[in-house]
Amino acid sequence: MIGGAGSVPCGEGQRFLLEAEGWREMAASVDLPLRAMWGDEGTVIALLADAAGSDVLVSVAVEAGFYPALSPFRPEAAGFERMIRDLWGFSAVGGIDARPLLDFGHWKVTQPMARPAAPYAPPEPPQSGVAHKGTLALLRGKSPRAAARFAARVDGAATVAHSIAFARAAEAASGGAPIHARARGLREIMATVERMAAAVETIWRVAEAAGAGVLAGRCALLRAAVARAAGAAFGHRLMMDVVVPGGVSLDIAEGGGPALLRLRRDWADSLVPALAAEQLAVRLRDLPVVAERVDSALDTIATGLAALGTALDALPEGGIMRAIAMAEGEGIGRTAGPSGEVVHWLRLESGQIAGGFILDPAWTEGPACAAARLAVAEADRALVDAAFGVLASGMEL
Amino acid sequence: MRALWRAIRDNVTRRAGGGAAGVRRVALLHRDCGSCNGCEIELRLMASAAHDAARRGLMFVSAPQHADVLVVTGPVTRNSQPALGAAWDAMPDPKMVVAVGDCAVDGGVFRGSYAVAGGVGSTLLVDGAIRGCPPTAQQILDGLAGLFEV
Repeated sequence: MIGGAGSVPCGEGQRFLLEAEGWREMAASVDLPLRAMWGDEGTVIALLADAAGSDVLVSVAVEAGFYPALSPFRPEAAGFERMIRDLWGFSAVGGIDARPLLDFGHWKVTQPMARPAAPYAPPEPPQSGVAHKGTLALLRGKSPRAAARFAARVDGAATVAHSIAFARAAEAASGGAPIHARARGLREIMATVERMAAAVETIWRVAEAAGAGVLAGRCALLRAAVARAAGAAFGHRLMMDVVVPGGVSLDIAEGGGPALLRLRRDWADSLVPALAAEQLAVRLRDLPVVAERVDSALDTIATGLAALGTALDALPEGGIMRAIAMAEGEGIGRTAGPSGEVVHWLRLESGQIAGGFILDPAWTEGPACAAARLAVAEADRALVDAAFGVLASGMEL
Repeated sequence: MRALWRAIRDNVTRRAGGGAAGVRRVALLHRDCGSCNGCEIELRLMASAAHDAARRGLMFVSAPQHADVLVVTGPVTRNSQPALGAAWDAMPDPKMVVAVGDCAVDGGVFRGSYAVAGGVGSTLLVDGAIRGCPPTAQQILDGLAGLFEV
């Protein structure tokens, strides 16, 4: 049904343009998971995943500020509809939740992503939205290279992942040649280090919440070792601003590879695996949702350490940066971040960003964490929060 | 400003019963005003076994009523301003504010956004600033501890 509509290209794929009727029908009858929704000029775009997990982008025209809601059929659309209302001013007709999500009257404008932004809104006390920095508006009118620093600051614990997804979206939108193999290898090494760092933090948070002080201390030392190694290899302890559209901005430092490989010894010395098994297993016996995440974090570290050696050995020689074309077009970029998949969508006009959206895993991790909290005793809720570690900044942009 | 630091130091020294021997303990209250979490990663490392801020007299507390120094991260979003002001008002005198990270100093890369007031100075009178995006755990520790070595 979706295939029958008109479309515009988006990277190598396309975005299907639906009438209001087709949009409603799609919501009611097409059984594909909804990943995200956002606004753009005069349109609302939904990102679905098909059975193979590939992207399906569909959009509907906004008429007089209104578009048909998806939330009656897809409750997971409600949060996105609230965000679209607050940032673009488009109202979802028939939506199940009309409360504000980000705009509580503290900005000097309303509907900041609408053109032109409307002045003032009546104040209400804020309940959330504290982390809303206006990132999507800051992207607009800048070149992908200049806007990359905002993508790098959506979530400091996933700065590499967001930078990679953003760069891929920009590269797809400008339709240029693929990046150099060495740049791709360096991106993968950084992403691996970042996932390991986040995994150590997960175990650290859970250990603290569980009162396992010795383990928490060991995790802190290990996290510090990862930061030092990343700093030695890439000049920044969180590896911020290294991944940019077109490649990477600097090569791995001399001695950076050995510094990263020394983490294997730090990991062995820290006794974290043994302690984690011993101390936490007992405490988490009745909390499978927390225990699973600790196990998965331990896995991430073990596979990461193994993958680092291989990736460093296999790192191809060659260039690290290719200029990206001053093009028009849309593109989508994605990558596996520390807490789930990160997706960026960009629309370029004359090489500058005209529209964009950033999908952080917090959109799904937040509700999943809230549901998991309700399923456990009150005393265990801190452990669930620690295991999920959901960050508002990722969702509130 | 040195006088204010001295007042805090003397105040906390008395409270800790340190007297002339000079047991210094400064209670820090951290407020995230829209940070990307980068500064929080370094702050957590500073407070942890990796840097042992407590050994240099710096301890984090969770209630404004127990705090000497307000440590602010993030560009101070407009949505965060009321809570930041409330935390400051609830702290007893003498008290100080330190901005940690480029965002808290002047809004950093987010300066000029409709959603950002632009640094702690937009809301409170700032007594100290530690730059960096993010500053490293060691820089934050040296910066905070250094303020007390008057």
